[in-house]
Amino acid sequence: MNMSNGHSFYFKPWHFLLAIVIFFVLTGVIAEKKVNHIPLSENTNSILTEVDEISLDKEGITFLFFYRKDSELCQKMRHNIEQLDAENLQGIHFYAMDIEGHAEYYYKYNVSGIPNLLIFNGDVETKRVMGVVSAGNLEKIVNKMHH
Amino acid sequence: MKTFFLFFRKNRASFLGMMLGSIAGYFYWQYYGIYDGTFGFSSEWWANCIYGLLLGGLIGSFMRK
Repeated sequence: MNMSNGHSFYFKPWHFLLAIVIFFVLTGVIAEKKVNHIPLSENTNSILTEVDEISLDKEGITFLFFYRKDSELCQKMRHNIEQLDAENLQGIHFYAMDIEGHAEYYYKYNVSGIPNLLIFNGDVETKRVMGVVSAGNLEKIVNKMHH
Repeated sequence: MKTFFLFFRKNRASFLGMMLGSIAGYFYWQYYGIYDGTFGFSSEWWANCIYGLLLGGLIGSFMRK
């Protein structure tokens, strides 16, 4: 930065545009490596209950997880869901549905991609978690639903 | 010290934009970003704050006299 004789360094729009592009690429690369390190769900002692039909509790909170068995990303998101502390999940139902055999629910709930975690308050959808979200963020989401 | 003060003064619009942008990014994360895991760190609060900071700075840089 040359500050002599009144010359100053000014931020220009292209500085920020370049920074945005670099940050976008960097986070994409680092996140992909991070997701690769997430283990696959072992499906044992899972808090998720497999369902073939969806019947929502009109008074409770329901987390409905749409996945596909052969999808690694779904298994990784499932692993993150299974890290949730069961003690904090009182009053919340956790269901999982394999979308392969239940395409009608895919269309009914307008699921645009998997993994997809729909959150219902009663029988009304309140939020939708798309993609792979960290276990820490899932804890925050659960705490939000409690309050 | 004078140099840095001059630097901050000349770019105050950008710095103000960055500050407001990072705050906006945090609130965006609270209500929307936390549910979006479709792209790298899109559900992380710090990533949303940095995007907000950069976008705020970009807007601020357009407003420089």
